[in-house]
Amino acid sequence: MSDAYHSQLVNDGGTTYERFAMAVVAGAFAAFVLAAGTLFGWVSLGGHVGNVPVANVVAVGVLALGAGTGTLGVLSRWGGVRTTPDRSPGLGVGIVQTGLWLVTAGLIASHTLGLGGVGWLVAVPVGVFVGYLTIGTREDVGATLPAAAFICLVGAVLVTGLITPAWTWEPEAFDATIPGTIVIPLLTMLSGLLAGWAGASASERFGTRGRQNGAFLLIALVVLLVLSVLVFLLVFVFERGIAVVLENLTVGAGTVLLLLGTALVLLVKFGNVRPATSDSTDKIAAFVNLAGAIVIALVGSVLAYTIGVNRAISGYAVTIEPITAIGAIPGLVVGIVLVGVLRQSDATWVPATEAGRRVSQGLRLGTGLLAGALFLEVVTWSELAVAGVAIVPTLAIAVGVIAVGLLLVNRVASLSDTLTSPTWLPPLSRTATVALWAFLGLCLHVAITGYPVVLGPVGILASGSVDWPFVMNPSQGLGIQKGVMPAMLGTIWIVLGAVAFAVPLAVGAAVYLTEYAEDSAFTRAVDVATNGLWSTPSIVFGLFGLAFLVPRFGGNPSIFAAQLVLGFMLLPLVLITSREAMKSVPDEYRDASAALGVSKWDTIRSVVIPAAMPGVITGVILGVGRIAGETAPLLLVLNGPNFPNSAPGVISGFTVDFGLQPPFVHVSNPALLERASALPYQLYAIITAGVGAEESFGWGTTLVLLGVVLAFFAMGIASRRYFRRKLHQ
Amino acid sequence: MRRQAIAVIRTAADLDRPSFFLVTAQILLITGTFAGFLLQSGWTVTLLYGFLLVAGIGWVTRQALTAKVVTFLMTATTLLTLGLIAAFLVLESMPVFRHAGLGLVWPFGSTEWSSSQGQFSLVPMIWGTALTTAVAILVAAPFGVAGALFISDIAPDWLREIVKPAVELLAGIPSIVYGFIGFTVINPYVGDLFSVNPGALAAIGLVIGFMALPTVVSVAEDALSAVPESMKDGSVAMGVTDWQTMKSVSVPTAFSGISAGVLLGIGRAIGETMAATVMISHSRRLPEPELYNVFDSTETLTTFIAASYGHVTPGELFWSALFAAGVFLMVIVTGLGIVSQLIERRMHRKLREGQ
Repeated sequence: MSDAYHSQLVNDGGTTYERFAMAVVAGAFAAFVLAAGTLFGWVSLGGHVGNVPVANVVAVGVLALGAGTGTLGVLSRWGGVRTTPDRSPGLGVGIVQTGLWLVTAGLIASHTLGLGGVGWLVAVPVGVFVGYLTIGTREDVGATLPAAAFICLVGAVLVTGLITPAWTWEPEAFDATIPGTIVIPLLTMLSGLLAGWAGASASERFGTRGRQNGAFLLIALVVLLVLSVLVFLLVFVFERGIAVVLENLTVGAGTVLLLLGTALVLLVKFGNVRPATSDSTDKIAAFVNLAGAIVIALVGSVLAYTIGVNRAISGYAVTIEPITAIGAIPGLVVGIVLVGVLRQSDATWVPATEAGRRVSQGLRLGTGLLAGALFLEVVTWSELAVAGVAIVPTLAIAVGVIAVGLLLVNRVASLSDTLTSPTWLPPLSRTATVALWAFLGLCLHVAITGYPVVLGPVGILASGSVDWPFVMNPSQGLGIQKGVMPAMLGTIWIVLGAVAFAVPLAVGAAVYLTEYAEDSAFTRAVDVATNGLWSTPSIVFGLFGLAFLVPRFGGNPSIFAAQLVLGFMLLPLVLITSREAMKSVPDEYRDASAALGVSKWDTIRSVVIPAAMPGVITGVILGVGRIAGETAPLLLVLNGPNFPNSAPGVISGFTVDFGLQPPFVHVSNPALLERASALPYQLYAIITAGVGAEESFGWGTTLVLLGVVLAFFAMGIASRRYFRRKLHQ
Repeated sequence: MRRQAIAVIRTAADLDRPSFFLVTAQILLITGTFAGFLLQSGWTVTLLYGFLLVAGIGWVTRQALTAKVVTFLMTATTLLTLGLIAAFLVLESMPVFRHAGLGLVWPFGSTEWSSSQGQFSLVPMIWGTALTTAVAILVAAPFGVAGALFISDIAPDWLREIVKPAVELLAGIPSIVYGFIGFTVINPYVGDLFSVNPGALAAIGLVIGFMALPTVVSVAEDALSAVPESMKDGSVAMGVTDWQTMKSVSVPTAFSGISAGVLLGIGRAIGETMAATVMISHSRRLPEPELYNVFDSTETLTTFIAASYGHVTPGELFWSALFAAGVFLMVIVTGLGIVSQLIERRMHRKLREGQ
């Protein structure tokens, strides 16, 4: 809303009347929450408070609310309280009251009095009469008394026991039994809404401000409801699924420590952890980040303690083994992340002296040799050894030790005042990078050969550092805990394929539409087609895949068909966001580039696309989040086994044939042309298999799916926020 | 059109001979690849290699030109995709239309579905979709518009930065997750409470409405925040309250945008598949005893497709009926999407002109 004003000229504090109105609002809110609680089963209507049944307490409460609401109106009209009501509460309130009383009178006449259809004819004049009265009276009376009368009626019905929790109503048209256990909460909630609205209106002494207060109260309540459903849903799934997902998880303390350390480094490097120097939402974010950092540090020290006393921690089905060795795969991930972080601060080092040049060359030679040996290992997929000594570990350890030594020397020299560090010493970032490369090489070596490298207590293990059955096991097998590995790999392959297919197409089309095309029938048609594709239901995409793609890829559902179908769904999502991103690149950039004599294509390639890249990436991440959870098309074009016992072997499946028949060069991958599973599909399979014994497995799968999809969404939203803020700086 | 054709011819005439050859070869080869794929010819892959080869040569020798041609071809893909979807759906649904004619959707004749007796009627599914959508939109429209008003005009900055991502996150929850919760929690709850069979349309509508909510919020919020500040400032300068400004300036100005949001929400609700599929009973008949009995369970267009696939073989009339349902879905939902987009664009243009 407009920020043009907002300062209170006169502040006379709250009068008793206003405080009374606020009390009515508070009471109404309490009644609303209580009633919602009974719907969720947190409060039982059949229970007792002391010796009084809950239903009676609710009834008296509703009656009190009605009385309070009525008092507000009476006090304002006849009690001498200074308020500023309008002449009429307005048409909207009149219509609401008409509808309310029409339904009330109709239900009473047709069912309680047994008049049937005629009852509704009687109800019409009652409704219209109440509406007329509402509109015709002054606002303070019209806004409160009809509502109060309704609430009192509800209260009276509840107090006299006309509707009790055991009461039922069986409307013939619906063929259902509507019990008192739901009618009482719903009536209470409605009463709460009416009383809250009237009270909020009264607390600002009616008039336009009063109406604003009432309206804002209702809107805020709606938003609160939506948010609480979201939170409730997430907490519910988490609570049901977490025990299943974590069951029998075993990790080495060293690996956890490594991951936590990396998280801490990233947090301190990229997150704002100083609440004192930031404002508004940033302050909250900074507090959260700081708390996160502290928690990580505390957990880290606990882990260090476990290693120290050599005792495993186990709790909540998770075991942390007191081993210091690190897993090769987590090591690789951490190494790559840290190298990426260092690259940002890695200034190219040009040594000034002869000795410095020699050191630099030495480091280069070491990493080069290491890279060469690793390349050979990757190609042959076996260990490279001379006379029983493995080359890669030896080299890596040597390079690592030298780099760490240089790093320490540099650090010590910079700490003391008397020592000046020699000019040949490379800067910290350089030595740290070299050390990291050595570490990465070692991890890769272990991952490839499967031989652990262990020096005393510290080492790198090929396996055993992380054992996570729910994520690593297939969903069927003899005597194993069920897991989602095939489904997870299926999702990964499908999403990768869809991204590889759709993102280049979408970005290319966005380039053409923003940079080359002029407004014409063609671009308008493309616009319409993009929006059409965006809103087309996913099941229709599935049908399309079934009719068009499946017969052309061997006639049965396959990963490849699923990749293309989800790619078609991703296409409009990425196209729309990429186009927006390219449109928002200022024309000055293009003009400046053109003024330097750069050709149009070179401008696009080196100015427009890099500037639009953040927007494109955000679009891709959000789009991937969307398609990763998509199930309907997968039913038709993937349709794998309900509980697969192995993952699709896509990597090892590629074959290339040469022939004299038309394709001549035939690249094929049978794994891609087979049916498979995916996370959302796995969940559907569990439901169709009749849940029952699989219910806990289903909750685990739900949690993993929700985690994957929401992680993509959170990443997309965060990256958009990050880049937008950068743009405004 | 004619001017453009002349422009294209002139550009082509301006090209030197190798460029002209490259462009022609690229366009011919990719068209050939597409035709080969459509006809399931063995030459498809070979033609694709040919295109990649020529495009590679073009990239090395005439990069700017190749980029333009390739990006143009990529743009054409979007048009082609929509066209292909429409064409294949209609093509596959032809047999059942030929068999049942208008009886497929005629509500006053036989509305019975019995594939074994050759009785095909989509009326129960269409009615089921209409009922669930009506319930859904009763939830999504008021809640969505209220949420949009809250985000754009009421919430202070710090709260907006929490509520807006939260609504987006809500949009991210996969429909099968709602379905699983609906199947394991909501269906038994509603069934026990009202003593009805699982899969009450009201419960499904409620869930779908919640899923359509973020769409309504984000589109309506876009429309509301497109209302120029100057109009709101002008209103506030008259001494009215924020709520009056919203009621008589923001909402009327953004009305078409908000209605576009609601239309899009309706489209989402109609097209929603998985949550309904796992919750509904799949009995292909009209609700009883009254048509509007939202506590009964029937079938919707989307659940019909999702649940029937697997029981049918290509070429059957049943198979074709699935595609007929798809045609209805596509015409209604894609149509709604396009219409709402046009409405929105018109509103933005009007606002720009009004400035």
